Amino acid sequence: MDYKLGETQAAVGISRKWDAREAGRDVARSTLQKLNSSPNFFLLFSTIHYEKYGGFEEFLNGVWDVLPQGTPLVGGTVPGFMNNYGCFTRGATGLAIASKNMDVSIGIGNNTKRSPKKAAKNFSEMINNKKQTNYSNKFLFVLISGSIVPSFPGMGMKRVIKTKIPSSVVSRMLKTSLQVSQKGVGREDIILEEISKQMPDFSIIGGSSIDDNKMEKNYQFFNDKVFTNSVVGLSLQTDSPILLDSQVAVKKTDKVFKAQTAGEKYVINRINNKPATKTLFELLDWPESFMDERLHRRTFFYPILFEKEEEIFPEVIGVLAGNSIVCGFDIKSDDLFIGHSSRKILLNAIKNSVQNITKQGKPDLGLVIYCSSFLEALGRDFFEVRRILMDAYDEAPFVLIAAGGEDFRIPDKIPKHCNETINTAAFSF
Amino acid sequence: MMNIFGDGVWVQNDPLELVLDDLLKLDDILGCMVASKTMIAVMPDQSKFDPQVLELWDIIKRAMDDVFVVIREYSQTGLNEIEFRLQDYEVLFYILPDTENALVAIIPALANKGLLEVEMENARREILEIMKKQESERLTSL
Repeated sequence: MDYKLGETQAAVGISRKWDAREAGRDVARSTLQKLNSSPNFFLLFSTIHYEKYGGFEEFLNGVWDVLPQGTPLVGGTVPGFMNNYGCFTRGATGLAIASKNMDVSIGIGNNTKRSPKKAAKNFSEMINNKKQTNYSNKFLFVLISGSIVPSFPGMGMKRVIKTKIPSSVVSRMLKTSLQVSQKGVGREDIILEEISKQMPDFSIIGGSSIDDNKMEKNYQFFNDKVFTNSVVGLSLQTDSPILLDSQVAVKKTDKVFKAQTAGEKYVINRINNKPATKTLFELLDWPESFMDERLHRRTFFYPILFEKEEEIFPEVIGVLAGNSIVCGFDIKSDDLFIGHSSRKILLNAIKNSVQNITKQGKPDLGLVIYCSSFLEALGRDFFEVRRILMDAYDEAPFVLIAAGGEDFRIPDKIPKHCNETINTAAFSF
Repeated sequence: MMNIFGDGVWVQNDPLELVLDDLLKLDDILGCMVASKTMIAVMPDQSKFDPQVLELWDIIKRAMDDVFVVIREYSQTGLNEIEFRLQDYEVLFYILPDTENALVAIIPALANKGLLEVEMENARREILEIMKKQESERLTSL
Protein backbone atom coordinates (compact mmCIF):
# COMPACT_ATOMS: atom_id res chain seq x y z
CA MET A 1 0.00 0.00 0.00
CA ASP A 2 1.38 3.39 -0.85
CA TYR A 3 0.05 6.87 -0.63
CA LYS A 4 1.38 10.03 -2.19
CA LEU A 5 0.49 13.52 -1.15
CA GLY A 6 2.55 16.64 -1.68
CA GLU A 7 6.09 15.95 -0.71
CA THR A 8 5.27 13.21 1.74
CA GLN A 9 4.81 9.54 0.94
CA ALA A 10 3.94 6.76 3.34
CA ALA A 11 4.09 3.04 2.70
CA VAL A 12 3.30 -0.19 4.45
CA GLY A 13 4.78 -3.55 3.48
CA ILE A 14 4.52 -7.15 4.47
CA SER A 15 6.23 -10.51 4.33
CA ARG A 16 4.79 -13.95 4.94
CA LYS A 17 7.97 -15.82 4.14
CA TRP A 18 9.26 -18.25 6.75
CA ASP A 19 13.01 -17.90 6.27
CA ALA A 20 14.26 -15.01 8.42
CA ARG A 21 16.65 -13.50 5.88
CA GLU A 22 14.21 -13.79 3.00
CA ALA A 23 11.42 -12.31 5.14
CA GLY A 24 13.65 -9.37 6.10
CA ARG A 25 14.41 -8.61 2.47
CA ASP A 26 10.81 -9.13 1.48
CA VAL A 27 9.27 -6.83 4.08
CA ALA A 28 11.79 -4.07 3.31
CA ARG A 29 11.32 -4.45 -0.44
CA SER A 30 7.54 -4.51 -0.30
CA THR A 31 7.53 -1.32 1.80
CA LEU A 32 10.20 0.66 -0.04
CA GLN A 33 9.06 -0.13 -3.56
CA LYS A 34 6.17 2.24 -3.01
CA LEU A 35 8.35 5.22 -2.10
CA ASN A 36 9.98 7.48 -4.68
CA SER A 37 12.82 8.46 -2.38
CA SER A 38 14.70 7.07 0.61
CA PRO A 39 12.63 6.75 3.76
CA ASN A 40 13.13 9.02 6.77
CA PHE A 41 12.70 5.95 8.99
CA PHE A 42 11.59 2.34 8.97
CA LEU A 43 9.31 0.83 11.61
CA LEU A 44 9.56 -2.95 11.66
CA PHE A 45 7.32 -5.42 13.47
CA SER A 46 7.59 -9.16 13.38
CA THR A 47 6.01 -12.15 15.03
CA ILE A 48 8.25 -14.38 17.14
CA HIS A 49 8.48 -17.15 14.50
CA TYR A 50 11.72 -15.96 12.92
CA GLU A 51 13.53 -16.91 16.10
CA LYS A 52 13.23 -20.52 14.89
CA TYR A 53 13.67 -19.86 11.18
CA GLY A 54 17.06 -18.22 11.02
CA GLY A 55 16.93 -15.86 13.98
CA PHE A 56 16.31 -12.15 14.29
CA GLU A 57 19.87 -11.15 13.42
CA GLU A 58 19.41 -12.79 10.05
CA PHE A 59 16.00 -11.18 9.78
CA LEU A 60 17.57 -7.74 10.26
CA ASN A 61 20.42 -8.66 7.89
CA GLY A 62 17.74 -9.33 5.30
CA VAL A 63 16.14 -5.93 5.93
CA TRP A 64 19.53 -4.21 5.58
CA ASP A 65 20.19 -6.04 2.31
CA VAL A 66 17.50 -3.74 0.94
CA LEU A 67 17.14 -0.73 3.26
CA PRO A 68 19.41 2.26 2.41
CA GLN A 69 22.29 2.49 4.87
CA GLY A 70 21.72 5.02 7.64
CA THR A 71 17.92 4.78 7.66
CA PRO A 72 16.77 4.98 11.29
CA LEU A 73 15.10 1.64 12.14
CA VAL A 74 13.21 0.62 15.27
CA GLY A 75 10.77 -2.18 16.00
CA GLY A 76 10.37 -5.49 17.70
CA THR A 77 8.34 -8.63 18.15
CA VAL A 78 4.57 -8.47 18.46
CA PRO A 79 1.93 -11.22 18.67
CA GLY A 80 0.09 -10.07 15.57
CA PHE A 81 -0.68 -7.21 13.26
CA MET A 82 -3.02 -6.05 10.58
CA ASN A 83 -2.52 -3.71 7.67
CA ASN A 84 -3.99 -3.01 4.25
CA TYR A 85 -3.02 -6.56 3.21
CA GLY A 86 -4.84 -8.52 5.91
CA CYS A 87 -4.69 -9.80 9.49
CA PHE A 88 -1.76 -11.92 10.58
CA THR A 89 -0.30 -13.63 13.61
CA ARG A 90 2.71 -14.81 11.62
CA GLY A 91 4.93 -12.66 9.46
CA ALA A 92 6.42 -9.18 9.41
CA THR A 93 5.23 -5.72 8.53
CA GLY A 94 7.05 -2.47 7.85
CA LEU A 95 6.02 1.16 7.80
CA ALA A 96 8.03 4.00 6.29
CA ILE A 97 7.62 7.66 5.44
CA ALA A 98 9.63 9.67 2.93
CA SER A 99 9.27 13.38 3.51
CA LYS A 100 11.30 16.57 3.31
CA ASN A 101 9.20 18.12 6.03
CA MET A 102 9.95 16.19 9.16
CA ASP A 103 12.72 15.50 11.63
CA VAL A 104 13.24 11.98 12.85
CA SER A 105 15.35 10.70 15.68
CA ILE A 106 15.59 7.29 17.32
CA GLY A 107 16.56 6.18 20.80
CA ILE A 108 17.21 3.12 22.91
CA GLY A 109 17.50 2.35 26.62
CA ASN A 110 18.61 -1.02 27.95
CA ASN A 111 17.94 -3.12 31.07
CA THR A 112 14.37 -1.89 31.29
CA LYS A 113 13.30 -4.42 33.90
CA ARG A 114 16.30 -3.97 36.18
CA SER A 115 16.68 -0.18 35.83
CA PRO A 116 13.57 1.22 34.14
CA LYS A 117 14.20 4.88 35.02
CA LYS A 118 17.78 4.79 33.82
CA ALA A 119 16.73 3.10 30.59
CA ALA A 120 14.08 5.78 30.04
CA LYS A 121 16.57 8.58 30.71
CA ASN A 122 19.13 7.12 28.31
CA PHE A 123 16.44 6.68 25.68
CA SER A 124 15.21 10.27 26.08
CA GLU A 125 18.73 11.71 26.04
CA MET A 126 19.48 10.03 22.73
CA ILE A 127 16.40 11.57 21.18
CA ASN A 128 16.71 14.98 22.83
CA ASN A 129 20.39 15.27 21.91
CA LYS A 130 19.69 15.29 18.20
CA LYS A 131 19.32 18.79 16.85
CA GLN A 132 15.79 19.32 15.62
CA THR A 133 14.08 21.88 13.41
CA ASN A 134 11.41 23.83 15.18
CA TYR A 135 8.37 21.94 13.90
CA SER A 136 5.13 22.44 15.80
CA ASN A 137 3.98 18.83 16.27
CA LYS A 138 6.12 16.49 18.33
CA PHE A 139 5.28 12.80 18.31
CA LEU A 140 6.99 9.82 19.88
CA PHE A 141 6.45 6.14 19.25
CA VAL A 142 7.83 3.76 21.89
CA LEU A 143 8.14 0.00 21.99
CA ILE A 144 9.10 -1.42 25.37
CA SER A 145 10.12 -4.97 26.18
CA GLY A 146 7.02 -6.47 27.80
CA SER A 147 6.45 -8.79 30.74
CA ILE A 148 7.99 -12.23 30.85
CA VAL A 149 6.39 -14.86 33.06
CA PRO A 150 9.07 -15.62 35.66
CA SER A 151 10.19 -19.16 36.30
CA PHE A 152 10.34 -20.10 39.98
CA PRO A 153 12.41 -22.99 41.32
CA GLY A 154 10.31 -26.15 41.45
CA MET A 155 7.31 -24.43 39.87
CA GLY A 156 8.45 -23.67 36.36
CA MET A 157 6.95 -21.00 34.13
CA LYS A 158 3.31 -21.00 35.17
CA ARG A 159 0.53 -18.46 35.21
CA VAL A 160 -1.36 -20.19 37.99
CA ILE A 161 0.59 -21.42 41.00
CA LYS A 162 -1.70 -23.08 43.51
CA THR A 163 0.94 -23.64 46.17
CA LYS A 164 0.15 -21.66 49.31
CA ILE A 165 3.06 -19.25 49.28
CA PRO A 166 2.82 -16.08 51.38
CA SER A 167 2.39 -12.84 49.43
CA SER A 168 5.51 -11.35 50.97
CA VAL A 169 7.50 -14.27 49.53
CA VAL A 170 5.83 -13.85 46.11
CA SER A 171 6.74 -10.17 46.13
CA ARG A 172 10.35 -10.87 47.10
CA MET A 173 10.70 -13.60 44.47
CA LEU A 174 9.31 -11.35 41.74
CA LYS A 175 11.59 -8.50 42.75
CA THR A 176 14.63 -10.77 42.78
CA SER A 177 13.67 -12.26 39.43
CA LEU A 178 13.56 -8.77 37.88
CA GLN A 179 16.93 -7.80 39.32
CA VAL A 180 18.74 -11.05 38.59
CA SER A 181 17.29 -12.41 35.36
CA GLN A 182 15.09 -9.50 34.13
CA LYS A 183 12.08 -11.77 34.11
CA GLY A 184 8.79 -10.45 35.40
CA VAL A 185 6.76 -7.33 34.76
CA GLY A 186 7.89 -5.03 31.96
CA ARG A 187 7.98 -1.83 34.08
CA GLU A 188 6.50 0.01 31.12
CA ASP A 189 4.50 2.31 33.44
CA ILE A 190 7.69 3.60 35.08
CA ILE A 191 9.43 3.95 31.72
CA LEU A 192 6.54 5.88 30.18
CA GLU A 193 6.33 8.22 33.18
CA GLU A 194 10.03 8.96 33.01
CA ILE A 195 10.03 9.52 29.24
CA SER A 196 7.04 11.85 29.66
CA LYS A 197 9.03 13.86 32.23
CA GLN A 198 12.07 14.02 29.99
CA MET A 199 10.12 14.86 26.85
CA PRO A 200 7.18 16.95 28.09
CA ASP A 201 6.21 18.42 24.71
CA PHE A 202 5.72 15.09 22.99
CA SER A 203 2.53 13.17 22.32
CA ILE A 204 3.29 9.50 22.81
CA ILE A 205 1.79 6.25 21.72
CA GLY A 206 3.43 2.90 22.16
CA GLY A 207 3.17 -0.67 23.23
CA SER A 208 4.86 -3.60 24.87
CA SER A 209 6.85 -5.94 22.69
CA ILE A 210 5.94 -9.56 23.44
CA ASP A 211 5.94 -12.97 21.73
CA ASP A 212 2.89 -15.01 20.73
CA ASN A 213 1.10 -14.12 23.98
CA LYS A 214 3.01 -16.83 25.84
CA MET A 215 5.08 -14.10 27.53
CA GLU A 216 8.26 -16.16 27.44
CA LYS A 217 10.55 -13.87 25.41
CA ASN A 218 10.59 -10.77 23.23
CA TYR A 219 13.06 -8.87 21.07
CA GLN A 220 13.54 -5.24 20.11
CA PHE A 221 15.20 -3.95 16.95
CA PHE A 222 17.40 -0.87 16.83
CA ASN A 223 19.12 -0.16 13.51
CA ASP A 224 21.00 -3.38 12.69
CA LYS A 225 21.00 -4.86 16.20
CA VAL A 226 18.63 -7.11 18.12
CA PHE A 227 18.07 -6.39 21.82
CA THR A 228 16.10 -7.77 24.75
CA ASN A 229 14.82 -5.87 27.80
CA SER A 230 15.03 -2.58 25.95
CA VAL A 231 12.93 0.42 25.10
CA VAL A 232 13.26 1.59 21.52
CA GLY A 233 11.45 4.44 19.88
CA LEU A 234 11.24 7.09 17.27
CA SER A 235 10.47 10.79 17.51
CA LEU A 236 8.87 12.51 14.61
CA GLN A 237 8.51 16.28 14.40
CA THR A 238 6.46 17.86 11.70
CA ASP A 239 4.08 20.68 10.91
CA SER A 240 1.57 18.20 9.51
CA PRO A 241 -1.36 17.42 11.79
CA ILE A 242 -1.06 14.33 13.98
CA LEU A 243 -4.44 12.94 14.99
CA LEU A 244 -4.51 11.06 18.28
CA ASP A 245 -7.07 8.98 20.08
CA SER A 246 -7.21 6.53 22.96
CA GLN A 247 -10.14 4.24 23.73
CA VAL A 248 -10.71 1.99 26.71
CA ALA A 249 -12.57 -1.14 25.63
CA VAL A 250 -13.80 -2.04 29.11
CA LYS A 251 -16.89 -1.10 31.08
CA LYS A 252 -16.92 -0.70 34.85
CA THR A 253 -19.09 -3.16 36.75
CA ASP A 254 -20.63 -2.52 40.16
CA LYS A 255 -18.12 -4.90 41.75
CA VAL A 256 -15.90 -2.60 43.78
CA PHE A 257 -13.25 -3.66 46.26
CA LYS A 258 -10.41 -2.46 48.43
CA ALA A 259 -7.03 -3.88 47.59
CA GLN A 260 -3.81 -4.07 49.52
CA THR A 261 -0.54 -4.60 47.76
CA ALA A 262 2.41 -6.46 49.22
CA GLY A 263 5.76 -4.75 48.79
CA GLU A 264 5.59 -4.58 45.04
CA LYS A 265 2.72 -2.36 43.92
CA TYR A 266 1.67 -4.80 41.22
CA VAL A 267 1.07 -7.69 43.66
CA ILE A 268 -2.34 -7.68 45.37
CA ASN A 269 -2.22 -9.75 48.51
CA ARG A 270 -5.54 -8.83 50.11
CA ILE A 271 -8.96 -7.84 48.82
CA ASN A 272 -11.44 -6.37 51.30
CA ASN A 273 -8.99 -7.46 53.99
CA LYS A 274 -9.26 -11.12 52.97
CA PRO A 275 -6.90 -13.33 50.90
CA ALA A 276 -6.84 -11.85 47.41
CA THR A 277 -7.28 -14.76 44.97
CA LYS A 278 -10.08 -16.49 46.84
CA THR A 279 -11.94 -13.21 47.33
CA LEU A 280 -11.58 -12.22 43.68
CA PHE A 281 -13.09 -15.53 42.64
CA GLU A 282 -15.98 -14.95 45.07
CA LEU A 283 -16.56 -11.47 43.63
CA LEU A 284 -16.64 -12.90 40.14
CA ASP A 285 -18.80 -15.87 41.17
CA TRP A 286 -16.22 -18.15 39.61
CA PRO A 287 -15.72 -21.75 40.77
CA GLU A 288 -12.28 -22.80 41.93
CA SER A 289 -12.06 -25.09 38.89
CA PHE A 290 -11.49 -21.95 36.79
CA MET A 291 -8.14 -21.59 38.50
CA ASP A 292 -6.10 -23.30 35.79
CA GLU A 293 -3.70 -22.38 33.02
CA ARG A 294 -6.68 -21.37 30.86
CA LEU A 295 -7.42 -18.59 33.33
CA HIS A 296 -6.05 -15.88 31.07
CA ARG A 297 -8.69 -16.78 28.46
CA ARG A 298 -11.29 -15.63 30.97
CA THR A 299 -9.59 -12.81 32.83
CA PHE A 300 -9.23 -10.56 29.82
CA PHE A 301 -13.01 -10.28 29.77
CA TYR A 302 -12.88 -9.26 33.46
CA PRO A 303 -9.86 -7.02 34.02
CA ILE A 304 -9.16 -5.15 37.23
CA LEU A 305 -9.58 -1.36 36.94
CA PHE A 306 -8.36 1.60 38.90
CA GLU A 307 -8.95 5.29 38.32
CA LYS A 308 -6.46 8.12 38.45
CA GLU A 309 -7.12 11.72 37.44
CA GLU A 310 -10.41 10.70 35.83
CA GLU A 311 -8.72 8.13 33.62
CA ILE A 312 -9.54 4.41 33.79
CA PHE A 313 -6.60 2.00 33.87
CA PRO A 314 -7.54 -1.62 33.04
CA GLU A 315 -5.11 -4.35 34.11
CA VAL A 316 -5.31 -7.91 32.88
CA ILE A 317 -4.41 -10.36 35.62
CA GLY A 318 -1.03 -11.84 34.74
CA VAL A 319 -0.35 -14.56 37.27
CA LEU A 320 -2.05 -16.08 40.32
CA ALA A 321 0.50 -17.21 42.85
CA GLY A 322 -1.01 -18.73 45.98
CA ASN A 323 -3.31 -16.06 47.29
CA SER A 324 -1.55 -13.26 45.46
CA ILE A 325 -2.76 -11.66 42.26
CA VAL A 326 0.13 -10.51 40.12
CA CYS A 327 -0.77 -7.71 37.73
CA GLY A 328 1.27 -6.30 34.86
CA PHE A 329 2.04 -2.88 36.33
CA ASP A 330 1.72 -0.86 39.52
CA ILE A 331 -1.74 -0.36 40.95
CA LYS A 332 -2.10 3.31 41.79
CA SER A 333 -5.24 3.23 43.90
CA ASP A 334 -6.58 1.12 46.78
CA ASP A 335 -10.08 1.30 45.32
CA LEU A 336 -10.45 -1.14 42.46
CA PHE A 337 -13.28 -2.22 40.20
CA ILE A 338 -13.86 -5.32 38.19
CA GLY A 339 -14.28 -4.42 34.57
CA HIS A 340 -16.11 -6.21 31.82
CA SER A 341 -15.27 -6.50 28.17
CA SER A 342 -16.93 -8.34 25.30
CA ARG A 343 -16.79 -8.65 21.53
CA LYS A 344 -19.42 -5.90 21.25
CA ILE A 345 -17.54 -3.53 23.57
CA LEU A 346 -14.29 -4.15 21.67
CA LEU A 347 -15.83 -3.52 18.27
CA ASN A 348 -17.61 -0.39 19.53
CA ALA A 349 -14.30 0.90 20.88
CA ILE A 350 -12.61 0.50 17.51
CA LYS A 351 -15.57 2.22 15.81
CA ASN A 352 -15.36 5.11 18.31
CA SER A 353 -11.63 5.36 17.72
CA VAL A 354 -12.09 5.58 13.96
CA GLN A 355 -14.86 8.18 14.37
CA ASN A 356 -12.73 10.33 16.67
CA ILE A 357 -9.80 10.21 14.27
CA THR A 358 -11.79 10.98 11.14
CA LYS A 359 -13.55 13.84 12.96
CA GLN A 360 -10.12 15.46 13.44
CA GLY A 361 -9.11 15.15 9.80
CA LYS A 362 -8.50 12.81 6.92
CA PRO A 363 -5.94 10.18 7.89
CA ASP A 364 -3.20 9.62 5.29
CA LEU A 365 -1.37 7.10 7.46
CA GLY A 366 -2.43 5.26 10.59
CA LEU A 367 -0.56 3.55 13.37
CA VAL A 368 -2.79 1.73 15.83
CA ILE A 369 -1.67 -0.02 19.01
CA TYR A 370 -4.17 -2.59 20.15
CA CYS A 371 -4.13 -4.80 23.22
CA SER A 372 -3.03 -8.36 22.47
CA SER A 373 -5.72 -9.67 24.79
CA PHE A 374 -8.28 -8.42 22.23
CA LEU A 375 -6.55 -10.47 19.60
CA GLU A 376 -6.86 -13.52 21.81
CA ALA A 377 -10.46 -12.67 22.69
CA LEU A 378 -11.63 -11.93 19.16
CA GLY A 379 -9.80 -14.65 17.26
CA ARG A 380 -11.07 -14.62 13.72
CA ASP A 381 -13.28 -11.60 14.49
CA PHE A 382 -10.00 -9.68 14.24
CA PHE A 383 -10.95 -9.53 10.54
CA GLU A 384 -14.02 -7.51 11.51
CA VAL A 385 -11.73 -4.92 13.14
CA ARG A 386 -9.80 -4.75 9.87
CA ARG A 387 -12.99 -4.17 7.89
CA ILE A 388 -13.77 -1.15 10.11
CA LEU A 389 -10.26 0.24 9.63
CA MET A 390 -10.28 -0.40 5.88
CA ASP A 391 -13.49 1.63 5.60
CA ALA A 392 -11.90 4.51 7.49
CA TYR A 393 -8.48 4.53 5.83
CA ASP A 394 -9.75 3.90 2.32
CA GLU A 395 -6.54 3.66 0.25
CA ALA A 396 -4.30 5.18 2.90
CA PRO A 397 -1.75 2.85 4.49
CA PHE A 398 -2.19 1.75 8.07
CA VAL A 399 -0.64 -0.72 10.48
CA LEU A 400 -2.23 -2.04 13.64
CA ILE A 401 0.04 -3.91 16.01
CA ALA A 402 -1.08 -6.00 18.93
CA ALA A 403 0.92 -5.30 22.08
CA GLY A 404 1.25 -6.71 25.58
CA GLY A 405 0.32 -3.32 27.04
CA GLU A 406 -0.40 0.06 25.52
CA ASP A 407 1.07 3.51 26.15
CA PHE A 408 -0.62 6.84 25.57
CA ARG A 409 0.18 10.33 26.60
CA ILE A 410 -0.63 13.81 25.38
CA PRO A 411 1.07 16.89 26.85
CA ASP A 412 -0.50 18.17 30.10
CA LYS A 413 -2.25 14.83 30.70
CA ILE A 414 -1.01 11.95 32.79
CA PRO A 415 0.88 9.24 30.95
CA LYS A 416 -1.14 6.09 30.69
CA HIS A 417 0.20 2.57 30.46
CA CYS A 418 -2.51 -0.06 30.72
CA ASN A 419 -4.23 -2.97 29.00
CA GLU A 420 -7.37 -3.29 26.92
CA THR A 421 -7.05 0.03 25.13
CA ILE A 422 -6.81 1.04 21.49
CA ASN A 423 -4.44 3.92 20.81
CA THR A 424 -4.17 5.58 17.43
CA ALA A 425 -1.84 8.09 15.84
CA ALA A 426 -2.92 9.10 12.36
CA PHE A 427 -1.00 11.47 10.16
CA SER A 428 -2.58 13.94 7.80
CA PHE A 429 0.02 15.08 5.27
CA MET B 1 0.68 -35.82 1.27
CA MET B 2 -2.43 -36.55 -0.69
CA ASN B 3 -5.28 -34.78 -2.38
CA ILE B 4 -8.34 -36.72 -3.40
CA PHE B 5 -10.61 -33.78 -4.15
CA GLY B 6 -12.82 -33.81 -7.20
CA ASP B 7 -12.12 -36.80 -9.37
CA GLY B 8 -10.39 -38.70 -6.60
CA VAL B 9 -6.98 -38.52 -8.26
CA TRP B 10 -4.07 -38.09 -5.90
CA VAL B 11 -2.12 -35.00 -6.85
CA GLN B 12 1.45 -34.34 -5.81
CA ASN B 13 2.53 -30.79 -4.85
CA ASP B 14 -1.00 -29.52 -4.64
CA PRO B 15 -1.13 -25.85 -3.56
CA LEU B 16 -3.47 -26.94 -0.79
CA GLU B 17 -0.62 -28.94 0.67
CA LEU B 18 1.46 -25.79 0.94
CA VAL B 19 -1.29 -24.02 2.87
CA LEU B 20 -1.51 -26.92 5.33
CA ASP B 21 2.27 -27.15 5.60
CA ASP B 22 2.35 -23.47 6.58
CA LEU B 23 -0.21 -24.09 9.30
CA LEU B 24 1.65 -27.12 10.58
CA LYS B 25 4.79 -25.06 11.06
CA LEU B 26 3.04 -23.07 13.80
CA ASP B 27 4.12 -24.45 17.18
CA ASP B 28 0.63 -25.08 18.50
CA ILE B 29 -0.88 -26.66 15.41
CA LEU B 30 -0.26 -30.30 16.26
CA GLY B 31 -2.04 -31.65 13.19
CA CYS B 32 -4.22 -30.28 10.39
CA MET B 33 -6.08 -31.40 7.31
CA VAL B 34 -8.91 -30.67 4.93
CA ALA B 35 -11.54 -33.32 5.53
CA SER B 36 -15.16 -34.26 5.08
CA LYS B 37 -17.45 -36.92 6.53
CA THR B 38 -16.45 -39.45 3.97
CA MET B 39 -12.77 -38.78 3.54
CA ILE B 40 -9.69 -36.91 4.53
CA ALA B 41 -9.23 -34.91 1.36
CA VAL B 42 -5.85 -33.32 1.94
CA MET B 43 -3.55 -34.13 4.80
CA PRO B 44 0.12 -33.28 5.23
CA ASP B 45 2.57 -36.06 5.84
CA GLN B 46 1.50 -37.52 9.20
CA SER B 47 5.13 -37.73 10.26
CA LYS B 48 4.93 -33.93 10.60
CA PHE B 49 2.12 -34.28 13.14
CA ASP B 50 2.93 -34.02 16.79
CA PRO B 51 3.47 -37.56 18.17
CA GLN B 52 0.96 -36.89 20.97
CA VAL B 53 -1.77 -36.45 18.35
CA LEU B 54 -0.83 -39.64 16.56
CA GLU B 55 -1.21 -41.56 19.82
CA LEU B 56 -4.76 -40.30 20.13
CA TRP B 57 -5.50 -40.30 16.42
CA ASP B 58 -8.10 -43.10 16.47
CA ILE B 59 -10.18 -41.36 19.14
CA ILE B 60 -9.83 -37.95 17.51
CA LYS B 61 -10.80 -39.41 14.14
CA ARG B 62 -13.94 -41.04 15.61
CA ALA B 63 -14.96 -37.78 17.29
CA MET B 64 -14.31 -35.92 14.04
CA ASP B 65 -16.56 -38.30 12.14
CA ASP B 66 -19.41 -37.48 14.52
CA VAL B 67 -18.82 -33.75 14.12
CA PHE B 68 -18.93 -34.12 10.35
CA VAL B 69 -22.47 -35.48 10.65
CA VAL B 70 -23.43 -32.09 12.10
CA ILE B 71 -21.41 -30.25 9.48
CA ARG B 72 -23.11 -32.14 6.67
CA GLU B 73 -26.51 -31.34 8.17
CA TYR B 74 -25.93 -27.62 8.72
CA SER B 75 -23.16 -26.42 6.40
CA GLN B 76 -25.74 -25.18 3.88
CA THR B 77 -27.48 -23.12 6.57
CA GLY B 78 -24.54 -20.96 7.52
CA LEU B 79 -22.70 -23.12 10.03
CA ASN B 80 -19.09 -22.04 9.70
CA GLU B 81 -17.18 -23.11 12.75
CA ILE B 82 -17.25 -25.93 15.31
CA GLU B 83 -14.79 -26.90 17.98
CA PHE B 84 -14.58 -29.54 20.67
CA ARG B 85 -12.23 -30.33 23.50
CA LEU B 86 -10.94 -33.86 23.91
CA GLN B 87 -8.63 -34.59 26.82
CA ASP B 88 -5.78 -32.08 26.52
CA TYR B 89 -6.58 -31.06 22.96
CA GLU B 90 -9.01 -28.91 21.07
CA VAL B 91 -10.12 -29.72 17.56
CA LEU B 92 -11.16 -26.74 15.43
CA PHE B 93 -13.31 -27.12 12.32
CA TYR B 94 -13.41 -24.20 9.89
CA ILE B 95 -16.08 -25.15 7.41
CA LEU B 96 -15.52 -24.33 3.75
CA PRO B 97 -18.78 -22.63 2.72
CA ASP B 98 -21.16 -24.50 0.43
CA THR B 99 -19.24 -27.73 0.88
CA GLU B 100 -19.22 -30.49 3.45
CA ASN B 101 -15.48 -30.03 3.85
CA ALA B 102 -13.71 -28.36 6.70
CA LEU B 103 -10.24 -27.22 7.51
CA VAL B 104 -9.46 -29.11 10.70
CA ALA B 105 -6.70 -28.36 13.20
CA ILE B 106 -5.74 -30.04 16.44
CA ILE B 107 -4.23 -27.73 19.05
CA PRO B 108 -3.29 -28.05 22.73
CA ALA B 109 -6.17 -27.11 25.03
CA LEU B 110 -3.95 -24.47 26.64
CA ALA B 111 -2.86 -22.84 23.38
CA ASN B 112 -3.50 -19.17 22.71
CA LYS B 113 -6.36 -20.04 20.43
CA GLY B 114 -7.25 -16.53 19.31
CA LEU B 115 -3.90 -16.10 17.60
CA LEU B 116 -4.18 -19.47 15.88
CA GLU B 117 -7.70 -18.65 14.73
CA VAL B 118 -6.35 -15.70 12.72
CA GLU B 119 -3.99 -17.96 10.77
CA MET B 120 -6.68 -20.65 10.46
CA GLU B 121 -8.94 -18.04 8.87
CA ASN B 122 -6.13 -16.98 6.52
CA ALA B 123 -5.66 -20.64 5.56
CA ARG B 124 -9.37 -21.11 4.98
CA ARG B 125 -9.45 -18.06 2.69
CA GLU B 126 -6.43 -19.34 0.76
CA ILE B 127 -8.00 -22.79 0.39
CA LEU B 128 -11.22 -21.28 -0.94
CA GLU B 129 -9.25 -19.24 -3.48
CA ILE B 130 -7.35 -22.32 -4.62
CA MET B 131 -10.52 -24.39 -4.89
CA LYS B 132 -12.19 -21.61 -6.88
CA LYS B 133 -9.22 -21.45 -9.23
CA GLN B 134 -9.11 -25.23 -9.61
CA GLU B 135 -12.82 -25.31 -10.37
CA SER B 136 -12.51 -22.53 -12.93
CA GLU B 137 -9.59 -24.36 -14.62
CA ARG B 138 -11.61 -27.55 -14.62
CA LEU B 139 -14.56 -25.80 -16.29
CA THR B 140 -12.29 -24.17 -18.87
CA SER B 141 -10.80 -27.50 -19.80
CA LEU B 142 -14.20 -29.08 -20.46
